[in-house]
Amino acid sequence: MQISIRSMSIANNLKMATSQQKMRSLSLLGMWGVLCLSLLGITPRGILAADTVITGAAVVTADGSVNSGWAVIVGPTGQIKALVPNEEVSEAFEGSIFNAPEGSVLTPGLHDLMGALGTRGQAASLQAGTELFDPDLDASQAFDPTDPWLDVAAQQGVLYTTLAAMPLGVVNGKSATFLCQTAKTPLRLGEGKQTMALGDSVLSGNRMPTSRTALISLWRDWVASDPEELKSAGLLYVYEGIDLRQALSLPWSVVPVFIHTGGDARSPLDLVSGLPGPVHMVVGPLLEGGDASHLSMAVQAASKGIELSFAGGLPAGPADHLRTSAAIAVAAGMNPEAARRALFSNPATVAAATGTGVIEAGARADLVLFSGDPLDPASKVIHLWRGGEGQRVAGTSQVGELDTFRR
Amino acid sequence: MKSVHIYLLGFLLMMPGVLQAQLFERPIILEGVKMISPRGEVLEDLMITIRRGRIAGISQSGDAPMMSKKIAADGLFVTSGLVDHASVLTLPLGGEGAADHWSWDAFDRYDKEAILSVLATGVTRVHLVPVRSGGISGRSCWVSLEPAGENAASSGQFGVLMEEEAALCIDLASGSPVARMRSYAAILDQFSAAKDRRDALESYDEDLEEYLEELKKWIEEKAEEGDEESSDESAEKDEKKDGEEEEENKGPEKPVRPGDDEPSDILLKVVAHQLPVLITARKSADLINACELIQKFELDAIIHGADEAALVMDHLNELENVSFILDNPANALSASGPGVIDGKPRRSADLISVMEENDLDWVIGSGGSGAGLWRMTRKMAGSEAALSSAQTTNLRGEKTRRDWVSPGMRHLVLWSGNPASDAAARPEKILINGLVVWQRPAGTREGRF
Amino acid sequence: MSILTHKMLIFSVIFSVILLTFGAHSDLQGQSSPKVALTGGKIITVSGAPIDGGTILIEDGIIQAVGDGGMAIPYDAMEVDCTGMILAPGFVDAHNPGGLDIPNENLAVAPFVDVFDAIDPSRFFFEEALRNGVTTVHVMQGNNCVVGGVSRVVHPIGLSPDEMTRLPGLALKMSSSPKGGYDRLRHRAELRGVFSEFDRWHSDLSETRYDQESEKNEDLNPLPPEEAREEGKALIREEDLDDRHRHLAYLNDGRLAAWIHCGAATDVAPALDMIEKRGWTGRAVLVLSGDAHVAVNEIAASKVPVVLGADLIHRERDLITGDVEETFIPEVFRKKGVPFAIQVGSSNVLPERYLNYQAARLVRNGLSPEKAMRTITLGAAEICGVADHYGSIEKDKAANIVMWTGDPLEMTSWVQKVWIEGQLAYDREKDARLERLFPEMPEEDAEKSEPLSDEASTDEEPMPAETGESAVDSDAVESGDKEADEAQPEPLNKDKKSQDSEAEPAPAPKPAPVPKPEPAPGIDSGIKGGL
Repeated sequence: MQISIRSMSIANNLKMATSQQKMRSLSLLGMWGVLCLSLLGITPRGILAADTVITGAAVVTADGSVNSGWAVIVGPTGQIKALVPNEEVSEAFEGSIFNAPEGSVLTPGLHDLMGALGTRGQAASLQAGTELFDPDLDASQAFDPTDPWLDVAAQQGVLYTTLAAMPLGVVNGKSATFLCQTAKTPLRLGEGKQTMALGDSVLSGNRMPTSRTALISLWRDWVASDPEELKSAGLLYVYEGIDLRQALSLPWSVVPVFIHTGGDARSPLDLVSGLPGPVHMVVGPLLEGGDASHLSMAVQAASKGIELSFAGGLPAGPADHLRTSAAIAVAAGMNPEAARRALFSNPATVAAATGTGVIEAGARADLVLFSGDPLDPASKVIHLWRGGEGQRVAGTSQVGELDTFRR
Repeated sequence: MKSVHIYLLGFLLMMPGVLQAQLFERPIILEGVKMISPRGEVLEDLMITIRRGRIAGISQSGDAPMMSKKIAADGLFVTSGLVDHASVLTLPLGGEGAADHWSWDAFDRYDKEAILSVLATGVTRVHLVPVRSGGISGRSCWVSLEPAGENAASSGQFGVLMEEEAALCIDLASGSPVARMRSYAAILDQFSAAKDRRDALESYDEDLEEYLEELKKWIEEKAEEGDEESSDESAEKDEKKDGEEEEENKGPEKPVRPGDDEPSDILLKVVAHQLPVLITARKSADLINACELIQKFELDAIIHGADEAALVMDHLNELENVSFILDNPANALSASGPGVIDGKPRRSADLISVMEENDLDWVIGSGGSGAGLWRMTRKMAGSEAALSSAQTTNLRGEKTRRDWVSPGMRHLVLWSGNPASDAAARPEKILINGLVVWQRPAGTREGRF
Repeated sequence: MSILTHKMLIFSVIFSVILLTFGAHSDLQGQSSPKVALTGGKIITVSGAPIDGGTILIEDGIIQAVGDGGMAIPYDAMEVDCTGMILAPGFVDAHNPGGLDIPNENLAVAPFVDVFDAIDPSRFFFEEALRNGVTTVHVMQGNNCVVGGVSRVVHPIGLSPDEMTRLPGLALKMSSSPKGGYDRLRHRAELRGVFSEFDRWHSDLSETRYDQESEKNEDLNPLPPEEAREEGKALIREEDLDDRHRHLAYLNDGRLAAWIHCGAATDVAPALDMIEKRGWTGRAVLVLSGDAHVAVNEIAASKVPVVLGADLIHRERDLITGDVEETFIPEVFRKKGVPFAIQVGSSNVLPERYLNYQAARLVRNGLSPEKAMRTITLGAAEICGVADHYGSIEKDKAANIVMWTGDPLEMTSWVQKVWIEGQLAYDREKDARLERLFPEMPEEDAEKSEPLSDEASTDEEPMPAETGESAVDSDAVESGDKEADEAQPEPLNKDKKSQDSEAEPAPAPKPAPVPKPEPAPGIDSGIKGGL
């Protein structure tokens, strides 16, 4: 390379030059060096990159309330640096300013729980084997990061997907949470939780146990033996009310998260709300024309203080099922803030995806900008950030012009 | 003069009860309500007076007329009852359809759960559309979801027929592609047959008129002959008479009346523009077929579905006077996803803006039971246009000021917040004809209707 | 002529006259229907107060008189002593497809069908009817139709449907609830189509008839078609009706009643609408099932009587809370004053197939026994339109009388004898089927079989059915007593037998309950009686 030869010749000249000349040569060398490196594509981080601040949008906080007048500073590493009041963002801010349109709402990403997103339609790969106790199975084996549906889902605001094996055994391995991004490498968030099941799905008929009594006694014996898997909170799949009731009769040291997508009027909500600490429950997608008794159970659970999350199921089913579930729940009487928690912060706790689901300092910068309240069916996704990388969501002429300034 | 007063009083007391009731009927007052004007402004602190079931006046809150009944409505938003333009509330789905099927037959008036769950979302009027598996489905009707029957409040019946025959429904959208082609061909045949029948009926009418005239003449002639012959008593004449009578006594020949065919008669009404047609078509091929059908028989048409309308906009623009009912079939992620070949219609997200650009009238129906209508309307039409679309009673999407809360209106919904902007706004009370038809139950029954 | 011949002549004349009169009388006596007098029993007349120790006089199958014990009985009447028994009118089954081979046609619209063609006199149904006190059955198609066929009233004795028929052509069955496999849209469109097609055929026929008449009759001028149809309506004769439309024409003319099935509340209004529009008011009945009782207000306003389904209790489960709400349907109608009849069920397990059990359920839920009894007798007859002849024990009604061993609404009473139109149609003594179940044990064999029975009783337990049958019927009272006397010494010898004996189950008829050890242990006692 020409430049290298020149620097080499400069270096030769260096030996013969005076100290002043040396200094000049050295600085020249330095500059060329940097030019070289930059041309070769190596830019030392932290030198040229800057923060992004998103202002003008109302922010959905961890408790589910929509607070306006805050600005979010996203650091270059893809983490939220800080939440500051709008006034403190001065014109002299160093970095890009994103001015959100009036009335827009900034939220963490939506979270599709128990879906099949990223498996390329191969949901069967999430099946546990014939073993009853399979703690080493990891749902991440089914995840294919090059699945194009991941980006499509992200367009709808779903930024996380949690995969879990089918509840065919008592212990079904670990769940896995990924960022919804079609890329070469998967980005796993958190360690995942042990997935367990108590219900008819475990009774497959080809192996023991074949009856509920046998299953319950199996569970009792296992819990009594104080196993490792139960030392931390896991995901317990209890489909029906009777399953939940029988699960609550077991002596839990750490209360698991209940996946209760088939509950109805017979679900023992009083027993659940009597448990210590905020209890998390995953209820089925509440869709138009869905089961009225399940909807009623979900709303009553929320009013009793149980923290809900909505189960997903992408890529099957309607694209906006999470927001539809939340809207239907609110129409049936759920507190709007509880509904927003159910959409954003609760699933992160359910999936043990650390650093996601909340907009606060230190969390991941996976953000969705809606044109209005996310519970409002009329609001659409305007803009996305995944790990700090912004992306405009195309084609919503109804939203109107955005004015974004980048400096 | 005192005597005049006495007579007047006596007259008043003796008036029939109906007049007395009208004079002394208690108006109903909603005080302190807020309203959204068609321009989008929020008008606060209004008083709405309802007489004999209809809104008599809207004014600023002030003195109530005497002896009025007050309904607690402070701070609530009032809109007119929402209208679902394509509903299958309590109707069975699927099965073979025919032109003489009528959706009111299948409406279950006693299905309180379903009807109350729809009322609870603010929908008070539904256009019941029969949904069958392809072909001509039947006739639709308009139903108002108010309590019906004698002792309406306690009878447990809901549903009053507002309009008997709203449209003839044709389904070009269900079934496999081959089935759709076949049913379209069958529909064309049925319409052609209806036209033939119309010709036959018209010619029969003409023949009948001729026959009646000839009959009159013949009877007169026969009367004259009879007079002449009665005076003549010769036997020969009698014989001759017998011979002649065999020929003459038959009279003019009566034209044969065409058989009874009710489905054809209904199609005739459609062809004669007495009944509009509601064509359900979603995919572009079906939309093109629908356009063809409309143009061929010059039908008065409304297209329901029209998911891929953006693709065939040029065909649709050729039609005069067609309007659309849009609904929101549950679209899977796959509808917009990469490289999936499946039969679901690909619907563009901004279908409504495309329609607006091309100056086509549209309304939104739920396509289902109607419980999700308001959500669906807000999602598709956005906050501003949602209310104007949801309050239209005209099947053809002509939105007028009269659809908004105005004097003469009978269906009212009181919301807990501004329905146009607040996602958590829910109906609190629903008034139809001055009666509180539904009220949000108190807290312990959350989740129930 | 001599005086002797003259006298002889007179004498022979007088003699022949006497012979003729009395001879004729005796001939007449040989031809005349028997007169029967039922005396001594407690008579439940249904139309009036019960009469203790009353007398019913029957002649020619008609009740001539009902009175108390002091009533005079003609000397030539056959007297039947019913002391200790209860005489009740035969039950009227208001709606039952039981006599048919299949309750419904596959063809949805079948107005040309008549139950006459399907009634099978040999069916067990009719035998059971007699055994359970039902003397009048309204045989009608089931509910699974658009237009069913024409029904008739029969009584359950006879060798052919002709013999059994009492009132042919009572009503046409229709349904406003969808037939199996149909939905409401299709069903109602078809139902409307049936009548619009009939109207069209009828008007065409009247026009044709008018034209025919005007051709024959010179004075009758041919008229324009509209008027011709009007005039021609009166000219339609019986032979012009074709099979397809005959019954519909009868329905139109008022010769048939209209019985319409409503399986849901929402089907009631269209049925009532049709009744009003077609002019069937006054001769229409609704047959209800499902939750049609919810529409009771509409039914009460239209004054149409109803026939209720066999499950008299409606259970509805709240989808959200899971609570089950039970409604006793007859109570709903009683409150609104709607006349109702009840049906029997077809369960082989529950006793719903007995009409007196269904009436007893009414009593259990608050109806008075008199009203319940009336529901299954006179009330049902009124709804069927045959109350002039059936349903109560009154003068000039058909003599369909049942002799019960106790109150008919008690499950411990049974039917001893049944008279249908004055003829003894059923006698439990001679019931062949019961005889097969409980064969008569002759007394000599009873003694001989003792040693055998000894072993038998050690090996097996005595069948409870045998030991239960120790209730006695009235005619066997004396024989029973004799057996009891004979059996008395036996228990001293055979200890097993004493185990077999047990107190009689309650209601014994007049003979006081005698704790009977089995005369022939291990083998059926020779006593037939209530099960």
